Amino acid sequence: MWVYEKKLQYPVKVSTCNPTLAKYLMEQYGGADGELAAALRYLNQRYTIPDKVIGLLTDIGTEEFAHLEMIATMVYKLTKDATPEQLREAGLGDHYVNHDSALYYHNAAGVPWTASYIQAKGDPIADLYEDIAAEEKARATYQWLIDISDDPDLNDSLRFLREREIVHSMRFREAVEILKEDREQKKIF
Amino acid sequence: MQPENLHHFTPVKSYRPFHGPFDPCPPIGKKYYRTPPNLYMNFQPPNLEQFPPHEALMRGTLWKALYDYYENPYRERKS
Repeated sequence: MWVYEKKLQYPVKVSTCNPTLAKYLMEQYGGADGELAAALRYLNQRYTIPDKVIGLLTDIGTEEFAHLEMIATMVYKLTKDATPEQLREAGLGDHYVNHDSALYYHNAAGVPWTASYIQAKGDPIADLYEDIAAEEKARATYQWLIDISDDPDLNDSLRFLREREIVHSMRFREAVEILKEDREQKKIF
Repeated sequence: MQPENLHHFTPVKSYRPFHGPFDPCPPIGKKYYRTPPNLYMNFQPPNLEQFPPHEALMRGTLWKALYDYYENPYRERKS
C-alpha cells in the first residue's frame, strides 16, 4: 500500500517556454533508462530478492515514481500553452497528432515504452547489477539533458535527480555487499 | 592514454579522442566523463559528515561524501 503526499519531491520550475526541451525530457519519462522503467523494475524484482534487501527495492522503486512525477510536471509545464504550430516546430508534431499535448510513455524519439526494457532474472546478483547499471545510465541521461538544456531552473531540478541516481547506485552496491557476506552466520575460528 | 591528473582527485575525467585529417568537424578537444563518488565507496562507512537537513533536501543527498555537482563541461562554439 502507498500513502500519497500531494507535493513534488523537489520543486520543479521552468523559466522558458521551450517545448523542444519537453521532447528531450521524454527520454526520462518513457525511455529505456527512464523513471518509469526504474520504478517498475525495482518494485517487481523485490518479490524474489533476499529479505534483507526487499525494503531497499521498495524504497527506491517508490522514489522513482516521485521522480517520474517531477519529469511529468516538467514536460507538462513546457507544453501546456504551446500551440500546435509551436509543437510542430519543436519536433512534437508527431506527438500532437496522436496525443494532443497529453503525456505518453515514449522516449525522446517517440518509441513507446516496452517491458523488455527491464528484466527480472530471479538471481539476486544479476538483478542488483542490472539495477546499478540502470542508475548509472539514468545519471548519464541527466548529464546529457543538463548539457543540452539552457534553462537554469530546469537544470536545478535535473541536478537534484542526477544526485539521487548516485545515492541509489551507492545503496544497490551496498546491497550486493550485504548479499556477498554471510552476516547472519556465526563464525568460529 | 595517460590520465591527465595523477595527484589531485577529481570526479571529472577527460581524454583526447583521435582526430583524423578527414574528420568533418573541428576537434572537440577534450572529451569528458564523470566518475561519481559512489564508485570509490564499497560500503558507506558510519558517521560520515552530513549536510544540515534543509540543505540536504535541496542537494539530493544527506552525505557530503556523496555530493557531486554537475555542470556542462563543453563550451559552445559556432560550427
